[in-house]
Amino acid sequence: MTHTPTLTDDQLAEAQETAAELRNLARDILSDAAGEAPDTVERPLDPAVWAALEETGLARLTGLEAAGGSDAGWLEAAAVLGEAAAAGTPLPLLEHDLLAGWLRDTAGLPGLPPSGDGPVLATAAEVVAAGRAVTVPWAAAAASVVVLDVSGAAPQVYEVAVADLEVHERVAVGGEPQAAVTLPTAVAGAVTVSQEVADEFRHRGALGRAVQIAAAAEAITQLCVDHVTTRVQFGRPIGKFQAVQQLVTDVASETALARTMVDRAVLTVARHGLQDPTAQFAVAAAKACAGASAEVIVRNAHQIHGAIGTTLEHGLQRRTRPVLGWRREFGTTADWEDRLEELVVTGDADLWDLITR
Amino acid sequence: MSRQLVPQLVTEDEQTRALRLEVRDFLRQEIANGSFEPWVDTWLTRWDNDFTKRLAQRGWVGMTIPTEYGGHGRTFLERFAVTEELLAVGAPVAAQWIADRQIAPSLLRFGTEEQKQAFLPKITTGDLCFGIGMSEPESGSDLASVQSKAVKVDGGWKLNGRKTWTSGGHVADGFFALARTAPLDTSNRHAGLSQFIVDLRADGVTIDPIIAMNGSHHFNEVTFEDVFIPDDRVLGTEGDGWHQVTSELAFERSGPERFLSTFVPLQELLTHLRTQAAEAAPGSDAAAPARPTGRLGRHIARLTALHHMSLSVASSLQAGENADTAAALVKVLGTTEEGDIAETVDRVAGDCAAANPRLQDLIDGAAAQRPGFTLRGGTNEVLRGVVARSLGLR
Repeated sequence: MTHTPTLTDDQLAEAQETAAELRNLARDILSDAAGEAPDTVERPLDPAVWAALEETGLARLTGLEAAGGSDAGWLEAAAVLGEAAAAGTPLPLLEHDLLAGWLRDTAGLPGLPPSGDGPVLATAAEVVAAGRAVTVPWAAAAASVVVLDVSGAAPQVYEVAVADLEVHERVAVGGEPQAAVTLPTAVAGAVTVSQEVADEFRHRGALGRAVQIAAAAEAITQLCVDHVTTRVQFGRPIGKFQAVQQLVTDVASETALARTMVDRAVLTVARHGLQDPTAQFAVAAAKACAGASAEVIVRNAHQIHGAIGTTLEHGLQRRTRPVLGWRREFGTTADWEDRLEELVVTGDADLWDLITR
Repeated sequence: MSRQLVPQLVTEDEQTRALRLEVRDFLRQEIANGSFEPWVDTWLTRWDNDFTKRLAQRGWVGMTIPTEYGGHGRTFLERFAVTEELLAVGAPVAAQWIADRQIAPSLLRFGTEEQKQAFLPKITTGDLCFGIGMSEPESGSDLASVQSKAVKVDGGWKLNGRKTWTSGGHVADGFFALARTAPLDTSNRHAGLSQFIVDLRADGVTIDPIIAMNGSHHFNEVTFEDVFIPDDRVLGTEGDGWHQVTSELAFERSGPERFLSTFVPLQELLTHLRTQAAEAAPGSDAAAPARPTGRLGRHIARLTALHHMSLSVASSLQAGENADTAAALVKVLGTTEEGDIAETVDRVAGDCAAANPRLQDLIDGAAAQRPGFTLRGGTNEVLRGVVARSLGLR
């Protein structure tokens, strides 16, 4: 029922090659659009970019080929997801492809009939308690929400049209549209899925966000280096001051740490699938690590940039604002840290064995 | 767009994984037998020649030394797995540490055939132990300012000066002393330095202890008074000492000893918390799980990342690549982390001297070692400078 790959070394190497190609393809699409991107607080979906992603197969990268997808894995998906985050272009790739699309295919839902002309975008949400509103990313831009409902005895999956929902729109801290939605439960046609599927959903969301944070962090590091080597005060580039160098190197160090853990998680997931315990541990560590590093990275990056970095016109905010949102979504930094702690305190896992697997 | 500061990730192969588990099993038995008591920062604090020789008998010392020099011809990744397992349980590895980590690679790179034959086989058997002879009373972070001086005499060199912070100097057999062999050229401070292989038992060598704040003795000051060094104990090329010394740094800075110094107290705390949870459960209305402290997950995540980062540097060193920046990153992040772990364990355990004296001893031991983590092997401030340079800031 669920797709649990175990890739050989050759298959992995092939996926890495494809990932590099897709990264370049995504970069081309995103740089074409970058010139026209307005400096706005709200960062709605750019329909032209999305159309280009759909046309090239990037919008539904990990879908099964039979269901109109490109049949790619996490290495390829992470490359594209990361490229968008680094470019500071908000895109619902995680929501549409890795969550909603995956959940729909996994549950064997037929999908809703298309209505209207716009992009047929889906997003995803988890309902933990009936009647409790949840934050749904990209809800207002989407045609439908694929819902994972864990409020009952067994997890259920169903798809509802956004038109049939009462959505309270708001703008996420990163500028993407989101909404507070009270989703229906006990929906007719809902498909019961295993607990493993519910578990995988959360790990998918967390890994996707961690990938985005790490990629944005790399772009932030580059912006910091560019700024301190060109901004002149007291007659020299501010990067010549040791105090500033220490700020920048801490951004670079934390970025390297987050990058390492996220890459490790993506690789392990690509090889063993998301229901493998080692892969799940790596995802938890990646989200916790990326979230903790983000604190230093965002704080120092703004300190380094001075007042100009706080403005709407500066590219820094297009990377730092989304990071603030991503680190709290699909489990906060603290949630994943607690999960890691539980594994070794109340669980029977050996810490050293977990670290070295 | 992105600067790749860390070498490509590697995955441990099956063979190395099997070796890792073999070492883990051996160490479990050693601890059960009471062969050693796990401790803090043991590559500095616990010197045990017998234990080193037991490891040597199993082929776990001098692993990367080629077989033609008595070594085992294993990879840096295999050595990495073994050393990581040793540090994770706080095994007494100080006697072999410096020789195994940086003396052997330096000899292989710069030593004469005679020097390699003279020293490498004995390092592999655990019969020859080394210290480090770099820092001086007036030369800490600024290593190029060393004042030890060697002058040419008939058949060799006459060495005068003082070295400090030589860990294990009172029990080690030798070290490589960095000394000036040509007057300081202020326009090229790195020129005119040479390395000498010094027998620490030789005439004219005096070793005085430096006692740490908790009374322990690991560091020493080594004084040379007209110490004769024969020509065949010059390491590498006269005047090339700076290049030779800095080539050791990636080995010195990137290993698991830069993030595992306080892993034993962390493990002991976990045992403590599990025991508390188990004791709380009987009689209570439910099997009450331990309340999350909310402080440990961060360390678990970061230690895992550091393990993978350090592993990728080991792989890079195996490939003969320059990994100086990545090594500096591992050391800055790792030594900060191992110090933060010491702080967290103390904070979570609280005053546990009566309830769990062993844990309290480890916490106090970690508190005494902690300041050194971010100082030795290049202060973190100096290392951030290394990273800044690689980013093009200086």
